[in-house]
Amino acid sequence: MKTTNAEAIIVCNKVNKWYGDFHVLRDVSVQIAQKEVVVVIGPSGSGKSTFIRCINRLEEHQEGDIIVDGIPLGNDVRNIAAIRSEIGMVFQQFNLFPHLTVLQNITLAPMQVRRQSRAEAERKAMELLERVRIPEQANKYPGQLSGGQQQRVAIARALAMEPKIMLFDEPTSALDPEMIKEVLEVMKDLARSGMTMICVTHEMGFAQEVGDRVLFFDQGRIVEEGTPETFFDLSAEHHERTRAFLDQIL
Amino acid sequence: MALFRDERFIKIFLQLVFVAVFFTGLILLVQSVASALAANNLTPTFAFLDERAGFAIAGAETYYSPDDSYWRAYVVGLENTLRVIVVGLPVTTILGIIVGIMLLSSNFLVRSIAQFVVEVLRNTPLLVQLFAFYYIVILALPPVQNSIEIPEGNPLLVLNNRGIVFPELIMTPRFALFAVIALVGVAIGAAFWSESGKIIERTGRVIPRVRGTLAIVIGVGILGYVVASLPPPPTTITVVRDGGTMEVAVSESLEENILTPEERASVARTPLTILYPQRAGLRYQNGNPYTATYIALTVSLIIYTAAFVAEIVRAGIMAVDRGQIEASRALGLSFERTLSLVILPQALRVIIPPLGNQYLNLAKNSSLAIAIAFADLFQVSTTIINQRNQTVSVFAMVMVTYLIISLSIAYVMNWINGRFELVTRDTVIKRPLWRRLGDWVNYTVLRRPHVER
Ligand SMILES: Nc1ncnc2c1ncn2[C@@H]1O[C@H](COP(=O)(O)OP(=O)(O)O)[C@@H](O)[C@H]1O
Ligand SMILES: [Mg+2]
Repeated sequence: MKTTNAEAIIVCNKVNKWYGDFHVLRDVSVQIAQKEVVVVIGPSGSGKSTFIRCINRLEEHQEGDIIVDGIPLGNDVRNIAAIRSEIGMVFQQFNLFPHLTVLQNITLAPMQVRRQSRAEAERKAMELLERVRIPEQANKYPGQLSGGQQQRVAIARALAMEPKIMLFDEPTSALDPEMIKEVLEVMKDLARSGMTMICVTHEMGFAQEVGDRVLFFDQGRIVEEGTPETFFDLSAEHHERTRAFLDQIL
Repeated sequence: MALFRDERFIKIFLQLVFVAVFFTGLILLVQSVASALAANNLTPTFAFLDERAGFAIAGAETYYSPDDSYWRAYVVGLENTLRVIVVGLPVTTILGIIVGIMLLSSNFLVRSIAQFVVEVLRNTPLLVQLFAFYYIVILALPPVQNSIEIPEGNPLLVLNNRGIVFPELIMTPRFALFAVIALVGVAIGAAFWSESGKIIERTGRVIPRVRGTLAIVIGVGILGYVVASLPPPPTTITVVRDGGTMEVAVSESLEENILTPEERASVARTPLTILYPQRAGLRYQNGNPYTATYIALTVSLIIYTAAFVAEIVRAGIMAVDRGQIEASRALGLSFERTLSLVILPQALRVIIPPLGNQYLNLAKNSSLAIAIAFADLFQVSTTIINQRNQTVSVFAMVMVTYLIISLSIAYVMNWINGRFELVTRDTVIKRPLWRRLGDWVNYTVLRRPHVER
């Protein structure tokens, strides 16, 4: 799915970021269309997390432009708030609120930020829990759930804000193998429902099944991008860094 | 002996054996101590408590005299200890939280100064701080004749080396009407609070709930104060002087300052009237006095304990996983909401148990009062012991009293802690007291492994 500027919901133009002297993002330019599912892949420390965290401004970039749904990301607090309410994020470590029940985790932001009534927020939360297939856990605390269940709650919590874009930062890396599948199933459902998604993940099956595009990061740069079919095809032509990386994971 | 292979029976049996052994030992110990004392003609008794104490207690002149009993003196000491603790705990908490947040400040100067002060306080002995504060700060104040009055004339604060005096607020006969109206205001405020809460839950509408409630309560309170002040004051007043009664004009008597505080209150125009401290020779009359020793002890305990609390608060906030803040930000929660709904509830979980320990420390350290001769529970008790030689009975009383104070604090803190505990897969839901006692014997005393029931 090749994108043109007109339908792009996320536009990054020559984005640069430093941690002190360390140049973590180098001239990252990419456009992501609505409903596109982008898989970000690359060696550890290559800047994948930093990149997606810049998109909802959990990190600040220092040079270049990031425009989300027409709103430029800068220091304007109103823009930051507007963008955060359009982007949901799922973390590797789930980051559920341990002092709140599953239901409270999901309804907190809709009630506090979107000013929804409790009844409405809870009704929607239960729908989302159905969608991630754990409605029976609604009144438990995160500490009582398995990792896979927690991550699905985290997805439901992000979806409760009705975001236009979902960011996933290695959502299955902290999970036992038998739980990875249940989380990926939920993510695939979401992709098929037309959500715009950026997923940092090394799950090739996921990338090949629902991914539209793969971005390969190395040392803060997008070294290569392509469709999952060509990207994971060792016989195709590849950048030497990509080849080295693919040799390791395939 | 199938019974002795049954795990449940063994558990209960061992508990019973333990209790039996423990109490047998205790009884034997008490008996041997008692017989040793009896042999020396020192059998403990509490009979002397009814007798005349014969010693004065500084600062308690208005409600205690040497003619009162030992028991009365003991109670005055206990009251003084409680006055230190009751003021000390909340002020320590507030100060500790403020300094704890300063320790986390991103402002270098604020953070460094807070760190320096906390380190100095935590690393020098409390007794030294107490002496320094008492001798250097308090005793450097002027004697009573040259008291510092702020402002001069009708002072809101009087400072001298005997302590400080604040004005006294006293209720006049008009207070009843004011109180009734103010209570109605509180009732309306409470109704507004709960109704608006229901509306917010139901519709998500934004209602300024806190401000609305405060406005109602304060508004009605002010209205009540004004209404109660409306009726005109009497023009004359009947006073009793030298056995006879006489009728005097209010305006004149006020000018000449011949009325007692009670009489002045009865002709005041407002529900509350203020009595300013007035020096009469070598002492101040009217007003609320606090002795220098009380202030030195309370302030020293507060400052010392607050330094530890600050460190606990800092560590508690730091202990909250960074991911929690990131998740909140990613959901669009504002900084204040993140703080109050996500960070603090989790930080309190970490803060409360050690905070409880600091509360206990403050309560127990109040016995350092003896070093500056503040008449607290322990100081009064040592005086009694010196006079009556009833060491065992008085120390038993002192121990039990401190124990009750400490256990009350610990109980409240445990209860609060329970409300913040996180539920995990290992959480044992609410167990009755006797069960928990059994658990305690099992896990702590008998060191049996934890078993789910
Ligand atoms: N807050 C930070 N301060 C300094 N360096 C950081 C910080 N966060 C990440 N880095 C560095 O930036 C690089 C990219 O990190 P990250 O985006 O997390 O990589 P990835 O997600 O691809 O593994 C790493 O070398 C990491 O050590
Ligand atoms: Mg990462």
